[in-house]
Amino acid sequence: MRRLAWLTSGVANLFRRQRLESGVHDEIAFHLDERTADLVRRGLEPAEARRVARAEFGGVLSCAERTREAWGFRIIGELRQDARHALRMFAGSPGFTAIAVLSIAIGIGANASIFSVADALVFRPLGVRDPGRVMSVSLQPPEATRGIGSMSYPNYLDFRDSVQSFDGVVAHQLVTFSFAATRDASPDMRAGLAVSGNFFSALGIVPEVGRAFAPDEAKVPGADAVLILGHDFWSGVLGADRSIVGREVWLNGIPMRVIGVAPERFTGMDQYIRPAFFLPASMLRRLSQGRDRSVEDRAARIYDIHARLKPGASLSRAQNEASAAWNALSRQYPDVNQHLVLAVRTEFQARVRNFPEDVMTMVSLLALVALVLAIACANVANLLLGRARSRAREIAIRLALGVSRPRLLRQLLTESVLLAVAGCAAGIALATWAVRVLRDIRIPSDLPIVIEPRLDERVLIFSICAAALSVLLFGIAPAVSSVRTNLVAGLKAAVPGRAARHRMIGRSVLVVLQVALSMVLLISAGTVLEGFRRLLELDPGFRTDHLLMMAVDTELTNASPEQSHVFYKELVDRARRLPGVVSVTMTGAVPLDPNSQGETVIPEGYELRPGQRGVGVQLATVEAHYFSTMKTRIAGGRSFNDDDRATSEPVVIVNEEFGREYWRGQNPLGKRVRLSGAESPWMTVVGVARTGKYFFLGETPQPFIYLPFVQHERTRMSLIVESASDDPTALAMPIRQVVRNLSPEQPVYNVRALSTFYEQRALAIPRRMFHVVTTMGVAGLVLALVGLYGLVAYSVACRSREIGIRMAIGARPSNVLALVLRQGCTLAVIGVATGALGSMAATRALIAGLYGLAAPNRPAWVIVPLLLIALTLIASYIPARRASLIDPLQAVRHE
Amino acid sequence: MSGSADLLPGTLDLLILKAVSLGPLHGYGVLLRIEQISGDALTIEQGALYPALARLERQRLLEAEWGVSDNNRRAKFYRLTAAGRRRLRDETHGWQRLVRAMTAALDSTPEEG
Repeated sequence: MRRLAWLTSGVANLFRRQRLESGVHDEIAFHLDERTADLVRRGLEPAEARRVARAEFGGVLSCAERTREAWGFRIIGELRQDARHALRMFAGSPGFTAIAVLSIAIGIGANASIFSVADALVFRPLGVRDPGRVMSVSLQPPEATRGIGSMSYPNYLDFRDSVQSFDGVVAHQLVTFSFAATRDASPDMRAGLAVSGNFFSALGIVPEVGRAFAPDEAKVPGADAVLILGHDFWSGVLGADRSIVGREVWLNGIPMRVIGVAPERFTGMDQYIRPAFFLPASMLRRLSQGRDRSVEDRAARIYDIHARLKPGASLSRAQNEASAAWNALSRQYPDVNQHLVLAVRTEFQARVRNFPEDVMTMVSLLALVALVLAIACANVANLLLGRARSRAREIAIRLALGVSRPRLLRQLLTESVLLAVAGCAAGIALATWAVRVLRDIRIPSDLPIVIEPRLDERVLIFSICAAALSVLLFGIAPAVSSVRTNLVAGLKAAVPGRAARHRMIGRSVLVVLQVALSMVLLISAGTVLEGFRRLLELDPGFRTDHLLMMAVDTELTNASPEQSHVFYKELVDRARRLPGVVSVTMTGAVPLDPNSQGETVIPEGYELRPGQRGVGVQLATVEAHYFSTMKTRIAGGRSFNDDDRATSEPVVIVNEEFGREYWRGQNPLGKRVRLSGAESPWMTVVGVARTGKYFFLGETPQPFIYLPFVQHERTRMSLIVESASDDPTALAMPIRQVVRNLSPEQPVYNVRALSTFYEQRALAIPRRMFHVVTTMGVAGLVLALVGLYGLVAYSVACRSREIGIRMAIGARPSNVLALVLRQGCTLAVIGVATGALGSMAATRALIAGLYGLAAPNRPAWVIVPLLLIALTLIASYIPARRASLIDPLQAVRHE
Repeated sequence: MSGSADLLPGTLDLLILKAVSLGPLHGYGVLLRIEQISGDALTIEQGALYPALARLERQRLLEAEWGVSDNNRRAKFYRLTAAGRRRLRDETHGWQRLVRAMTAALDSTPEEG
């Protein structure tokens, strides 16, 4: 039906246009007839009279055109006419059209897909009302250059009440609880946000179902056992059951009433983690059986702060006021609040600061795809230039017939716009596919980390802008140059000498540019590929085969420290006795797991800056057999062993990088380290472990320390079991059984083979990026080669006449071929040299910007220039040979 | 048409409005009428007539209708709208002021003193 409506309206338009069109012509025809009749009446011969009438009138076509223009209908009519003309032309040369559209499609598709990832990681605003006004407030030591910079809850409350520039200040903290939808359901580990009571109202988040926290809720500690569900969790795990609102769910075995479901567009306060639920921070203490006192503890800097700027308040004013408020708090509580600086940043500034790697990666990838688009545009521009030449005659005829130059220019640009529209549509189709591939990047861990690239209106707008830009890039120069056609020369189909010379220089510059651009793109892609390749082959510093991992948190059953101690001791002992188990150990932080442990420590003898409380370092609390089970080499000293007890001398193992960083040039063995807390004892370094990878494979060597579990017991540990068989997952059932026998309520999570975890966590992203960059590189390669070939072949073909003349005056085919090849080679070499300079700069920037994700690719430096030069030569050779074979006379006449 | 003057820019519209104000006309009729009322003293570039008519029609100073000419041919007839009449009056006054001023300026003789 819709199609029918479209058809009839199209037909109606057609009639209307025809009526207008014929109206103008009828009117002019009438005029001419009347005039002729008058002249005949005055005694002229009818034929003569008609001639005079026409001469008096002037150009009929141009008059008709100016009349239509005066009506204002012209633009629409002409655009239709132009579009029809362009479509006819495209249909007439399907090869040209296909290559042009495909080039643009690849360019736009690559840009749209990478932008969708960059958007998901860096650019997409928070899903709250008017996100541009929501600022991130961070509190850090002055020397910190990155990181979130959290605040304690009591400080947050005082800060919130003392600043005027904000319409609302909210605090939130990521928390994990065992979650059960009903009392009897087996609990799962889920991440949520513990938030201040004004969180939903101040951020303007309106629940999709139910309600937000009421103003009087979330004030009295432990009083309001209410919960709002995250949309993803509600629709994905709980089956979008609306009746759950009003029912009770169990967190750590404590009933909480569901009062609402967050809207779909609010996916949490960072790009990675989607909270399953939101609960008042005032409930934390009750949920943890009194252990979590973060809401009362002024020293517990664990709440992230966001604040909404008042309408009209500027960022700098807010910053000044907030700093003043903080300085007052700092004077009031000097013991915990000094040496911290408060900063108010936009969400985007905060992301750039917190995740510089993401930003750098995305900027580099965006630059790479921009280059692909640039090459695609250069190709299409070259194709259009080539066509413009073969159409010079058509254009000259139309100019002679009185079509104005702006009109002709518009017509040529219409063709470009149509190409861009088709290319953009195809590119978006391509991106749809690519995004589907990129979408299932999920980092496995107990916190569901989801990066969600999606094709939304933001990506569409980006693509359309890219397409518009590409029209500017590839459409305007060829169109302007064709319209400048010298009329007489164009009609005679011969190119006047000087213009031809200019064009040849222009074409040479284009060839050089194309070679250079292609080289920069290909070398850059090669550099990134080499980085990913090395990453995929990297030794992370621990084994991944034959190991099963399983995470347990005794806090989820609210076990006392004594119960927890017994539980873990029994767990390890019983697991060791299972058949098929070679060894068992535990760690507080599985390497590369995003849930890492961090502490501020004081290395003995290391000079801290004034006011610095210690140095931040990643660490793992490990059981004694960790190093032997994980095959992490101890480079000096000893591993932990059974002689290390809770009561024996405190010991610690540091990695080589830690020694290098804090005890430069000295042997770390025997040195001492202390946690920065007031009553922490000094721990003696008894071993030095080899530096491995701790957070992600591309990281720079990081200082890292290991604490013995017996001296630093904690509730959340991962059991690591080495199995005798190749499939460690066979041990999952027996070990779950051990846990159940020890503590029936105890949930276990993150149960998988370490090799699977490693594959998903460490390799999946590099591998996928490897594929993306490879695809982009190949697309770039094909585009560059096709474009270069077309350009060179075309510019040689343009010289058929010159070749003919040379042959006519006695040059042999071999001479001519040598000449053309020599010139082609010169251009290619100049292009490669230019490209090498660009590539060197690009490589340096990539390696600096993407530490570990880019590495010099020597083979590419050899292959790419050779490929480009060889292609230039082939592209020169084929048309030159064709020209040298034809009859010189023909060649000369052809031009 | 010896002795005829070229039109000053912008005056064609005014002449068309004047011509049409004397009664509905088709395009060619406008041409003849202008030649007639100016005593053949003004030359109109015929090709410029139709864009001007279209422009005036678009500005709603003229309205047009297809009708039948004296010799039974289909022709487009233009007639003045109320807005066109107002515009003609204003422009005529303006033109007359200009002519008076120009005449006074050009007729003045150097002052002796």
